[in-house]
Amino acid sequence: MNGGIFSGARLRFFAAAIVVINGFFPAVWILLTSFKTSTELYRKPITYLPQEPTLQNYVTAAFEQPLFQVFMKNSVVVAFLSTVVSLLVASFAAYAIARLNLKNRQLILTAIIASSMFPLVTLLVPLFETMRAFG
Amino acid sequence: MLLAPAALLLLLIVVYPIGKLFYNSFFDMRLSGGQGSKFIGLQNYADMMKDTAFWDATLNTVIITVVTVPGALLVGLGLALLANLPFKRQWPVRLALLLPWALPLAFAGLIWAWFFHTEYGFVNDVWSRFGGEPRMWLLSPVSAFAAICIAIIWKASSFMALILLAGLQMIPKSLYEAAEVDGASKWQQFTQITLPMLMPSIVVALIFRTITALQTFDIPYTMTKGGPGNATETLAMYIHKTTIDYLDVGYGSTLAVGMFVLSLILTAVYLRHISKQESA
Repeated sequence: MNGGIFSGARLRFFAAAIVVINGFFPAVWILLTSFKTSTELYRKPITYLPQEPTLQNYVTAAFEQPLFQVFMKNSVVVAFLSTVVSLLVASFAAYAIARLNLKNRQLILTAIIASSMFPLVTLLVPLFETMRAFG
Repeated sequence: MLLAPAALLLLLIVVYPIGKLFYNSFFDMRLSGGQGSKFIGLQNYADMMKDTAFWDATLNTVIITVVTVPGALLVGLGLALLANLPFKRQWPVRLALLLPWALPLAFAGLIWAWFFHTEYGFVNDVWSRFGGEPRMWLLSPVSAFAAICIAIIWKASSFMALILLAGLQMIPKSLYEAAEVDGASKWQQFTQITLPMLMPSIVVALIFRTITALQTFDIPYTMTKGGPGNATETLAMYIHKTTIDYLDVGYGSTLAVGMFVLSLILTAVYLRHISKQESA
């Protein structure tokens, strides 16, 4: 499509570079940082590329942090369960809304959209209470 | 019948908590004090109206919304236009467009907080290379606000760009060919074809962004914790602080109702727009 301003291959490369740097920069920074030693992390002036690349941080995270594996497991369980439950429930509901001639179809759809816009933080209070009740 | 599971789930995790929220907002419930809850009618609401911290947080939330929604739209539109150019390899650009959106909000906040760090941040490093004095970006109200807005715009422009890119690809090429034949300039093609054809996507992206911007929590929370003082505290953060840190459940609920009303107004605007589109 309208390649006018960026018709040349070099300008196109420039455009791609802007998008790629914007998207990748913070993630790449974190990746580079993860290979730095902790003394290098607090060195001034700051370094861009790791001077003495090390995998020590990964070893520490995986084996020396007793809770890391628990956190990993929790995240996987939460991600798995919420995906399965919402997929099941939503596919039933979507089929019903799409295929069956329901009287209040528009109302149901509106209700679903409205509930998804509800600020989650405001539910924090009641959920917090429920959690406390569970102990 | 098939709707029953979804209805049950909505009832359990949305309707019941909302009801409970309204109910709690009429009580004096301080979990820290040890005394039980006491019905106090509208006292919490009266307190809220006089609470300067509430109004400050509301103002901060509105400022963040007003700055980051158009900001993310402009940056997102730029990214989408760039990403829509005919590249030989699409995937690096597509991946770069997707990545900020895929990162967890709290993670993005932490990265940007590190960038703006006074001693070890990337921003100060570049800044001093160009001859500037290192600044404490996150410790003065104005620059902390600016830093938060930059982080939010970076994160949100990804979502904008994805929606707008999808919209751009729906525009038939024949329109541009016809415009080309008629001798329209690139700028005319942009304003006369691209923008009008993109309008529905822009509106949808704007509305979703506005509603999420009102709920801003993670990025300021991880970058400044609302500081310095309460200068960058949003409404969602104030609710969190009141409820979780101060354990003042009654008043926290009242604040949450206030925020609910704010987003309800916007949701109503959104739903009106949708029904208008459907009847048209």
